[in-house]
Amino acid sequence: MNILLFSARRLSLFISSLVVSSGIVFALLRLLPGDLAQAKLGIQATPESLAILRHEMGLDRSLLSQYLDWLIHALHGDLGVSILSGADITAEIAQKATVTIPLVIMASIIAVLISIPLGMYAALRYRNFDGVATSGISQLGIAVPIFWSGILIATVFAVLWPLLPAGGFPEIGWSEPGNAFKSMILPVFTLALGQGAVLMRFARSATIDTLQQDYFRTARATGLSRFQALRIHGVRNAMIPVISVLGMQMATLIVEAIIVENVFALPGIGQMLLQDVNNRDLLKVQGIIAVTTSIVFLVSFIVDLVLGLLDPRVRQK
Amino acid sequence: MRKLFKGNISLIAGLSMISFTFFLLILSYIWTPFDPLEVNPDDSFAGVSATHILGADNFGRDILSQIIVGSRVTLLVAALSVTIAMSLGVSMGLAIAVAKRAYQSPMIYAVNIALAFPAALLAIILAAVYGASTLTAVSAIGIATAAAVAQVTRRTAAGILSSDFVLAAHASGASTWWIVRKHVMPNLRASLLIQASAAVSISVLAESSLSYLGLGTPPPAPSWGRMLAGSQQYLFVNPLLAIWPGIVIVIVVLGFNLLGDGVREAFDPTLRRSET
Repeated sequence: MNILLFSARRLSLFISSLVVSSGIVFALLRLLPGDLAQAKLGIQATPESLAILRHEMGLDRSLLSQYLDWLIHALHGDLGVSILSGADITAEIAQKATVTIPLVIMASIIAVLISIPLGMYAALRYRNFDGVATSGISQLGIAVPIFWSGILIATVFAVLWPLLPAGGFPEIGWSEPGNAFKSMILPVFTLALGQGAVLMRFARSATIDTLQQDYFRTARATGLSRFQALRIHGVRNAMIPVISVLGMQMATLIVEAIIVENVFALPGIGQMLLQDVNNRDLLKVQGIIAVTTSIVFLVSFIVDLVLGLLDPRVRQK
Repeated sequence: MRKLFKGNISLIAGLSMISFTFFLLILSYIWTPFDPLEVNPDDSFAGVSATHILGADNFGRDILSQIIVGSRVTLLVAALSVTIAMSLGVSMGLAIAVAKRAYQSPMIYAVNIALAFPAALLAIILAAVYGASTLTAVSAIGIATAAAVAQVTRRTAAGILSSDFVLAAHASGASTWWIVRKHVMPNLRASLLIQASAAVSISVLAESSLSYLGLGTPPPAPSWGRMLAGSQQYLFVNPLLAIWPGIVIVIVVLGFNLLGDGVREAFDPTLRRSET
């Protein structure tokens, strides 16, 4: 398939996914017993004031027209205002994203950097004790809930051996770069270890696969050592599944970031989301979920494009 | 039977860990050292001792008793959500696999959309609407996991449907339903067992995360995730409190993951040869 046609198809898939998923979230959040006006005015509101507010907020129109209205505003970068505080939702998300996005990106990079060499090592030595032990550690890493590894990491590096802060983030954010960076180290590693354990399994099985390929045997026959041949053929072959799994894992990674932010009291999108859920600030919850799912679809769109460019076989499907 | 277990370390280890979990569950109905909710100010932060084998928390509640009883919520949520995930996911996956081509892509599209909502995210949405409860946790975990099960089932079933024996059955006039029953289901059995055990692990992890975030089963019922959330406030006083509930969660999750690996090994002769 032609690259342009392939990209156009993926782009239309990406856009339609955004519209459909935000529609589902919208519908789910409108299933609420009671409604937004009730949530805003409280249970003591008079029917008249409720009716006026419903009209002001457009709640008396059909769900579809309300959704289209929200969608058009959202596409212009306007997610509305919080029901409780009246604050602009887009601005708040943008501000909190300065914590969450660096967290997710740094953790992804470190996860890839840990998982590929370790996965390849476990594959090379898969008949030996150390190889089995390495993949055993990744099994264990997958079974550990992310909040527990966060608590343990905080216990070791902040409580028993006070090197880094156990949580929190400078009030003025990245304007205090040293302290901001310090508060990110433990959360980033917590997230990276959990993700790295998952990615390592894929790097390992891709490498085991490479070891059995004819081109690998040919490379060995030309006199390269196992290690040299693997450096040429193995790294790229291990990268492909790791990158595509990382793309598929994006949704999970964001959820884990939400949890890690709560473990380390980082004032990011995740912590805000949970507060809004507890306050039933539905419009804000809707905005945050719309943004996070857009990121998930955007990443999988980019990963698809990159894999399609790298590997012509992907385009055929 | 003995052949199945021979040399299959994953299967043996997995089943032992799972038995341990069920032992805790049964024990919770027979005997616990203390009432898990009994507050004992004198024993606040009691260390490991003969009375409190694993110590006590800030209210002096016995940790071991809470862990034993905490297995109930974890296993209840896992059992219910895996039932939802497997029945919904397998029927969706099979339906997509046998559907006409024109119907397949919209159904695959729907599954892909659902995959963008992991269990915890869906649970957060449901909690925003209905408030957090065991029911919201179970539905969120069940539906989110169903999407993953549907995807794997569809792929596996599509592979079976494209094999020669299915073609032969078609040629001899067999109906689709007959083929699904006689050819697809028996060949799916191992894959379903592996998926079910993976689904249990996912559910247990998701349930404990939700309880940790305060979005799972509400107090007072003891739950491992909430015990860990409580322990975090007292890390500087008693870091040991953060150890025990985590260990039991890992035992359950690891147990079901290993069971999945063990089943895969037992049913896939090519794996057996290369691994041993």
